[in-house]
Amino acid sequence: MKRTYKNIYTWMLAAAVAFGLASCGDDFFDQQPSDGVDAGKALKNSSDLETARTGMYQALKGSSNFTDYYGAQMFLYGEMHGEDLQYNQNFGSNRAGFYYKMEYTSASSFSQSTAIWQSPYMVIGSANRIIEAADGGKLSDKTEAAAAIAQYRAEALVLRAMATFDLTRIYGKTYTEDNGASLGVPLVTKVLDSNEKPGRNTVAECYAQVIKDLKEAISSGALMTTSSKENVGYINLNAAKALLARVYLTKGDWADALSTAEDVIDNSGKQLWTRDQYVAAWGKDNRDHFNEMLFELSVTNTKDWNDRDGIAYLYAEDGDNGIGYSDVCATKNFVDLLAQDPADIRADVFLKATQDEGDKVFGGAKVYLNKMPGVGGDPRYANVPMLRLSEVYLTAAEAAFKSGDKAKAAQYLNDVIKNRTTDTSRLVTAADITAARISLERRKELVGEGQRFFDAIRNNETITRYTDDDHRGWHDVLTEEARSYNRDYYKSLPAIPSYETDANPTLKAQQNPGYGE
Amino acid sequence: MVLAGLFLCIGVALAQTEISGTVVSADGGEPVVGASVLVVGTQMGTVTDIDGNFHLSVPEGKSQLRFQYVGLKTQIVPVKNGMRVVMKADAGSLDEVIVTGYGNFKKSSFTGAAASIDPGKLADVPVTSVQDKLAGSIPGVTVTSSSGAPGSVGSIRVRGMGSINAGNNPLYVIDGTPVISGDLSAAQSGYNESGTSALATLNSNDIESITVIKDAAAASLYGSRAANGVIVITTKSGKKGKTHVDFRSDWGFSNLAIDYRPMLGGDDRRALLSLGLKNFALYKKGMSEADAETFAKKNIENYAAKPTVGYDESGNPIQEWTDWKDLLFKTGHHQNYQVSLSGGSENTQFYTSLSYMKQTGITANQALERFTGNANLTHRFGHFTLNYSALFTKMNQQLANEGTSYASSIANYAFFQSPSSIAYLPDGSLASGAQTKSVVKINPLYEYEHSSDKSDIKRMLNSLRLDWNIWDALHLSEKVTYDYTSNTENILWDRYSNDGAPGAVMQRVVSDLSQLNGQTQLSYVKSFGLHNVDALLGYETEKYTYRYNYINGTDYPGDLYEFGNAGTTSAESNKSGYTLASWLGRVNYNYDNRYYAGVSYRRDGSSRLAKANRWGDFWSVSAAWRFGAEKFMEPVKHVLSDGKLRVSYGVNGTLPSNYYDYMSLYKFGRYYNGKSGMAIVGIGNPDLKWEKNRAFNVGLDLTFLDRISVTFDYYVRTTSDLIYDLPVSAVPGYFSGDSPYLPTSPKNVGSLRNNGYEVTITSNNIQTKDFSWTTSLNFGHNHNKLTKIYGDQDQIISGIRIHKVGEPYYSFYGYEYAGVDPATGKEAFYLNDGTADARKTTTDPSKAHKVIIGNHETSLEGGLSNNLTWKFIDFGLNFTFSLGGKAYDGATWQHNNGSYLFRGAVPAYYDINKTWKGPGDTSASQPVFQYGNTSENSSRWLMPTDYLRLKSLTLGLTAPGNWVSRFGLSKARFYFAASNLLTWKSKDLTVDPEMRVDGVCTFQTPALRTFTFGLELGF
Repeated sequence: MKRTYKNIYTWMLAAAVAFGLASCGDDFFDQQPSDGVDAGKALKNSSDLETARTGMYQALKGSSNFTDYYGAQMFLYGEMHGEDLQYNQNFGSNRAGFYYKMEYTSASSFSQSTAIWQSPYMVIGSANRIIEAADGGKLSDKTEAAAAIAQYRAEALVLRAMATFDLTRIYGKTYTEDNGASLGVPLVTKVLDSNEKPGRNTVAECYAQVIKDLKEAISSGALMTTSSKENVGYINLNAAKALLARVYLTKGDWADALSTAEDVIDNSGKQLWTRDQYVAAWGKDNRDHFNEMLFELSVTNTKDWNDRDGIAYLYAEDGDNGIGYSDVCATKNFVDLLAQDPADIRADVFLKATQDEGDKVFGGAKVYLNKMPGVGGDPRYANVPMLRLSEVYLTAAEAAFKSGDKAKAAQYLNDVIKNRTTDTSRLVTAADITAARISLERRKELVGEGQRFFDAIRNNETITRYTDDDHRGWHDVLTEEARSYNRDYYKSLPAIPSYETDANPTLKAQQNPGYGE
Repeated sequence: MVLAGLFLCIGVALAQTEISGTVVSADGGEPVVGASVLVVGTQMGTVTDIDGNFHLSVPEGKSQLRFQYVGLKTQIVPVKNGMRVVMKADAGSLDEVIVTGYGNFKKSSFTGAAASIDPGKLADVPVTSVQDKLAGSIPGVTVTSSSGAPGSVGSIRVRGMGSINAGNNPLYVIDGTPVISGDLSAAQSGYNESGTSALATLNSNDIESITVIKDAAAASLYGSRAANGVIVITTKSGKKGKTHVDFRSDWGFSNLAIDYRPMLGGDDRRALLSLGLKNFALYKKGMSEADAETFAKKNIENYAAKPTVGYDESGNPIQEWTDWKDLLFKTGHHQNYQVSLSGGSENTQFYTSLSYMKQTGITANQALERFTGNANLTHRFGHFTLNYSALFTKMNQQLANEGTSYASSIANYAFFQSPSSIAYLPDGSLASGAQTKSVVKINPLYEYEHSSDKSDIKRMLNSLRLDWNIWDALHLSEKVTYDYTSNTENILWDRYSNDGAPGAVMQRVVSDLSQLNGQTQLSYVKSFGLHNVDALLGYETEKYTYRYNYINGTDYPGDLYEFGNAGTTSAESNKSGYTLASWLGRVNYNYDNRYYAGVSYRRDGSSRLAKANRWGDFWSVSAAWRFGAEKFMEPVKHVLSDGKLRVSYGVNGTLPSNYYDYMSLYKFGRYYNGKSGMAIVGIGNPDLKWEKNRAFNVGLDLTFLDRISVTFDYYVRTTSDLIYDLPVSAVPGYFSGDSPYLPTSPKNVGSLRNNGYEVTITSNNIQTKDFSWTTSLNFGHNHNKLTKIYGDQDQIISGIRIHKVGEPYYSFYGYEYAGVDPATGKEAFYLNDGTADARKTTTDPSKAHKVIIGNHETSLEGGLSNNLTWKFIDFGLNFTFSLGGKAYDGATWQHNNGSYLFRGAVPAYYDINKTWKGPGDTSASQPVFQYGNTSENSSRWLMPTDYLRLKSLTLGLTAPGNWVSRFGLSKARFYFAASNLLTWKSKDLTVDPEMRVDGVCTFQTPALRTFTFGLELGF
């Protein structure tokens, strides 16, 4: 019996000592997470750089938790402010109402999901890390994979320019208003430490950086040449040029806008969708799709989609057959406008409400935009169009017109018109072409692609949703100011969100006017 | 060194007689555990062990022993070896045993601040979770909940909040081992606010006692996790004697404890919205009175039409408002059965129990079903004592969406639905989607039929401990505990649901948590004449592992939702964990049971910190003087029976709540174009270190007339190196992987200070043969102050919340409401611009400045309980109360005096008679109700949280022993219990007064009022 105790004691002590000693070393404490690697050691070669590139595009595309940029809000910002699409108050899910109703009064009205702020800077931050790693010369396969590294670097430059440009045209006064003298957004061109609190640069400084980045990427020769099924979803040379043309146009630099646009028109090998192709070509698997599509965000599965929070889902009807949130519909004015030319194919890119109740409200009109058609009826798998050739033509037309070359303006505008309608009376001539006519064509062609509001403030147009209650159409009851306004209305610029100004006192002191805390 | 010194002392013991004996209770002959045994005329004494046994050295010339135990009558008995003392029930003695997990102490010899729950209080009130037993029972302990759902996670705060990000939850210790606590929810998804409480896996009837350690003296021995107090739970164990069989069962039902967020009925709502439209036409569009009337009439049907519920015989529509409260809330039911067996022989004792509990919530799809089994075995052989305890729980929890989720019952009742939206079509079928005419196009009743969220939780808590009495009073013990919990949560949104259409979404989350804990302890407890020594050395390790597997299936062709049937599936998994190793030591010394001193030290090493900051040192010192035992107190002894002064000071800590916060990581899983990309998620801080918590406590224990005891404590608790997820600018491009996704960086910033006092007064008012009446009052106040944030930063604002230096942490930030502007009817705000104009008002919020408008701190909170017994009847009443606090109505969507309100429910606080009538109306107490109005966060939406609540009421009838023995029973008792029976609060407080800890209320399920009928049988 005694012996048994002794044995028990020996074992117990041995166990205690073993348990204790095994636990003392650093091995016991070195616990590693299963989903990430130390940031300082993450970018070792071109393959890591490619993984970081995917992360950069992901920030541009967004996710169901980051809808504050091209996930949804960038489109809603450009469209809901305008007069052609509206928040569908009768059937929508409230996801598109923010920039439609314009009821925000203070910085705290803008949240992580509504303010277009965080995600663009995530794109810029990701781009800067790629650029820095490529420039650092420490990648292990920097010689063998030089071409790939240069390509990722050039794409990062383009996305950094795109995000900086978008932020500048949202938060800063439009360039043409004061030649970029007023405040834009903080420019970030290198990897910043997390505790830095940058202030705003001027709009002119922002544009200079954007143009510099785009020119550098274009002239690097490293970008893929053009859009195709194989390289869908990534920036290519034509996309970079089209973006640069958009930047020049917004800046009011007509000559450069025209030459850059013409470069794309002449050298891209792309051609406008014909009237017959137009409706179906929006489908990402359509054989004509890449004729016009220069850059789009690619969605392939349930991992990389934005689920029900993506813009395509908000545009789609929550109807009998399809799935969507019915958040956005055409305004009655826009439906009437399209109806003025019954031969215009663009009316067919809208769909009728399938639910009786909706159909009743809209009187049988086609109101649900179908530029991001569902795959197998499911819009969550739709690609998101970002840059198209027809915009480049319209840019060329407007830039030519404003530089005084009306013949060229008419030529480029007619290229678009004749591919959209069979009614030849709609064509223009050098004699009758007007800025308003170009603007009208732009509205009809680019509706839903997030450009309308920027075009309006750029051209100092007044946006009129409805004039009086008898002509309200399908609109919700809007405040007086929101019914009709132009860029002088303080809400034509949003507030920098309070989550930023609270964390960054530099920006708190540089808030856009008119807003409370 | 210390031990060596102690060994030397052994030889010098004085001449004395060693005696031993047993103490049992008159009621059933149960051993009395922890009774104090004192040699009369000295301060020498001991405490009875788990079998009621005691061993004591009686000095020569002393012949009497005094036996004391809480709830039993104190006796003085002549010394006799092998004596058996029978103690009778009596509430006259007020001493209690403090169980610290590192040793048990009589309260009279305890130098720290701690309190135990009266075990009697634990028995009757039917609560699913142990935490509910603590509410109102112990001063300085606040129990709150964000959900009334069965099995939901509550929050317990001991002496206020001492941390911001690192956690404020106390450490839970069961039978001496820290265990997994908090939320076991597998999905952690935010689909529901309730979560799955780890404490709900315990059968509260298996619990013998709960002790809350509040100060540093005892808590510092728990080191890096003790800053927020320690809750020590002791489970029941077997006692020597005949085998007892006890059966307990109860049944009952529950409903809402308060009139939660009252809403306007259909007619009132319609009238108010009509006015809103008219005002819009009048003041916004400048129409004439008559045109405005027409405008309102024309548009009101869009917002407040009376729904058609059916057709009469002649085909005319029957119209009725929808009563959503009636449709969404129901009566919850619960039932509970438990049987326990306990007993044992000289060397072997056991306690086992089995229980089954079932509870349904007050909204659809909320339920909990639980089976527990518990076995506790102690066996002695030679110098060894072996203890094995095993606890098994299987729990099925059904959860429903809460908060502002589209399918949440509460949010549908109080926000999304209105008397004009419909649940049923005229043909009687459930409406779905847009047919409901609600703002979110959801019919919750329809969604409940087509969605479910079910958790299947299994927990096993096993521990094995072997104690070796090496020599004399020197013990070595080794204990291994394995705590394992698995949770399989199935979340289904079927093909017809809003979230699942068209192909359904089925998600399965399988998570498991395991914690392996090893403890080695060397202890020495011995008295040398008047010197009493208690020393402990220990080494502990802990390893925690969390594994997470997730499967998602969509595109189902049919209604069988297993993953093999899905058209598309995806999966995710993750693994994380931490380790902790600790050395600890303690020496307590007292002289003559009058002068006490204690020292403790603990060194913790944690995997959650970078190598350089890994180890932390924690310690405490404490002392007490039992002046009641001094000679000079003899003259007042008949009034002041006993008295003790206690002081303690110590340092303990808090670990970062995240396991890898010190590392910046490129994380994968950033998907684009079919590939997994990476990005820097979160910002690491390699310099992160422990939060340090310094606690000072001074306490006074007094006993008057042997029947009234008063305990008073004052404390100061200072937390420095506070870990805070500091919001940083989004411009550098970092972000967080968790909601709200904004970039933050964990920093040891600033400090917090809590100070306050706690008072407990217990009185045995009447104590006769047939009638006894005990009253206990406890109350306390905690003042919390943020003393430093970071560098020059002196405030952090996040929406309505502000954390500002010099103010309580939970302060509210908004415009200061100045009433109704008589000219425009708009809300007016004080400018507060810091100039001479500060008290001028404006209706334009961009001109006004936000200020701190209040905070959530109470000036007094506590509880009052009364327990009465008369012959065979027992009766208990327990009130809780709180005074002086403020809450903020976080349902800001409803604050706009007419905007979202047009599409959903309208709170009853909008009163058409009180709104502004027109220009010049100076008597209006509410602003103009007008379509399109906007809302601002202002002091208008503060709510007083003052309340008095009848927390529990019990009434029991015990059948006399000679009656029940005829049926072979030793005990039969029938009882009725109610919880949250009555609540008195301000009408302005539209939510439950026991609310979220930060006082910002949105749509949390309020507390439940529960009625229970129970039966207790002993064989």
